[in-house]
Amino acid sequence: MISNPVILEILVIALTVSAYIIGKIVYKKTGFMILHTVIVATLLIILVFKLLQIDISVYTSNSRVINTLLNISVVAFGYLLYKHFSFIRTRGAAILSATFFGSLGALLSVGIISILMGASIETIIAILPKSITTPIAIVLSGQAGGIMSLTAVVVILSGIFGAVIGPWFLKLTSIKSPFSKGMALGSAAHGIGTAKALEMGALEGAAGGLAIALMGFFTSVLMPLILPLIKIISEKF
Amino acid sequence: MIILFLFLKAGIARAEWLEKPANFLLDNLILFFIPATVGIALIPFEIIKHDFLAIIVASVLSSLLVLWLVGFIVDKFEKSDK
Repeated sequence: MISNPVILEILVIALTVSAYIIGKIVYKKTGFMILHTVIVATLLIILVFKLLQIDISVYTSNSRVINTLLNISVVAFGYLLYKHFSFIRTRGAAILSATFFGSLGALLSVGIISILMGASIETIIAILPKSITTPIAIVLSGQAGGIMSLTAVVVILSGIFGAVIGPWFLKLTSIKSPFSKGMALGSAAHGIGTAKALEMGALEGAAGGLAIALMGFFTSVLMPLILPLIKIISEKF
Repeated sequence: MIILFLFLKAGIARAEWLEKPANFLLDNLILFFIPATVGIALIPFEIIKHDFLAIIVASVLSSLLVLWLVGFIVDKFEKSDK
């Protein structure tokens, strides 16, 4: 067995990039939302390790380089916020109140429903930030003691769900303006929803990008405030 | 994230410097998620099985709530502007 950590890191990066490229091709060729790049790549890597009969922890404990890049990438959202700042200037009240109440609504609804359904506190913490973009969600979940990989999977599945159901659901609830639709998709389904919004139009796409950055911001502020409350209530149940 | 935003606003950092790296990072962001999602295979199956239904129901209902709530609030503002 290879035990040199540097070589292991490089192997992990090589495997991840290859799986990512294959995932991207599969997703582009089929166009099925459920065959999302991350899902295909994840299943491929798990399959490779199962076939070679190597413990998957060899992969996860040697992916420090990629995890560091993930943490750094959160900063890029500051750029996204800057790029779309002109919208905040003209529609500030709408954008800020929608993403503030969106964050609050997401945290409270996930908390209350999962408490009522008897989920364990580790699970609840892991799925609380499910509406926001994966890197910020993982960091928030990790800081609060949640299962980070569960967060990653739930965030991505929620994104796919929001992007598939979103356009239909917005029609059903007669939300019509392009800007509202983009904000709603970005808020509920982060990057995957915003990709869908971008298909509808440039304004929808920009609104989605703005929603990702602001939902991330408000959830980072609100989650540490709401978490103690959720812990107390879940202990009573 | 907020510090970078303020730096850009104050002109300490220039958007042109960041455009390419930031866009590259945002375009290929999902690559960095993969080690985190692969970790799902390490979680004891019992934990997920116990909370499976709660995770699905909470995620679905809360996604629909956020879609509607955000869309509704922005729509209200847009209508009152006209």
